[in-house]
Amino acid sequence: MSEREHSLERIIRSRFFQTLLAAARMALGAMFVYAGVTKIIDPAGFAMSVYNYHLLPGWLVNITAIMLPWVEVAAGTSLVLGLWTQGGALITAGLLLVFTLALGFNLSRGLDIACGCFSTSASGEPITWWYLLRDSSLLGASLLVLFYEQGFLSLEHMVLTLRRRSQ
Amino acid sequence: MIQRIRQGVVYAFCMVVAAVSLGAVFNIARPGGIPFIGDWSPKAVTQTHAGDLELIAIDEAFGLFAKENALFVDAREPGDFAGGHIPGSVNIPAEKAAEHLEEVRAMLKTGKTVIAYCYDVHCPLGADLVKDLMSRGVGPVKVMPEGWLGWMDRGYPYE
Repeated sequence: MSEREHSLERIIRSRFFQTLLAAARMALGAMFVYAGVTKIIDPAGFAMSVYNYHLLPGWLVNITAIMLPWVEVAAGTSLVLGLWTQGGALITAGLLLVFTLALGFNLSRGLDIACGCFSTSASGEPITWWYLLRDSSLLGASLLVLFYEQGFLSLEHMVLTLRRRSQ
Repeated sequence: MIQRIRQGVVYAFCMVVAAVSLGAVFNIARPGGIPFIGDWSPKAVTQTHAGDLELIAIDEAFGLFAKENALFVDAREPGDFAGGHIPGSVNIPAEKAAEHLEEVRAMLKTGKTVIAYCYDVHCPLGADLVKDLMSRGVGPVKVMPEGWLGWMDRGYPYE
């Protein structure tokens, strides 16, 4: 291992970086649980939102609206608890990648996703740019958790430690 | 790194299967569940947007327009309106209904048919505008679901 790789490895393994990652993991997870639950509460409203992206064929709209929030809640719960963390982080990274691409594509073709209207003023809406920025930062956080999280403050880690102690 | 991703894929797969099954079961069991395959045809979407509002087909609207018996309200944003609209139409963005009540009342007083439209059949703004106007006691205003895009597709005049 080269000197540089060695110091990078030390930073990644440092308590400070691992605490940051644990905080990012829980915050990301909480966001996904919250986002999922609000969509589960109003399936018809969420179906309308999915439809307004004008990306899926009609027969896929409702299925997506029914299933997607539960995937978000599952991934979010996994991240909050630190259980099957890589799985949760992989799902959130995948979803955020899809969301970012869908948002960027609609922004570029002038579709206002709030109402599903094609509008020349849609790209002028700062909120859309904010969503784009938010989703891509969260995507970055998901990837960091996926690659570098070492189980600090995670349920998985606690269970392992307890088991080891009892042996 | 590869090992972490591989492990992630296995976990993710199990979680997605579990979540999707739960979602399906919950949707069947809950009150207010939605059909798994929804009807998103133009007709159904119009029904969702407009509900009980009075609709007018685009060709009928054009017929009235040709006889100068129609007045149009464009419910899109000012930028879109500026880019082209049905001749003589007035721009009232859907969220600004309250500021234009007198204008609409004056249009209704002419005895001509007042018709609201948006971009196309997917756009709810025309219906939203009419609902807001009606809740403030201003009407009747009809909704033309095909909207600006339908008007252009048929090669009708615009300005």
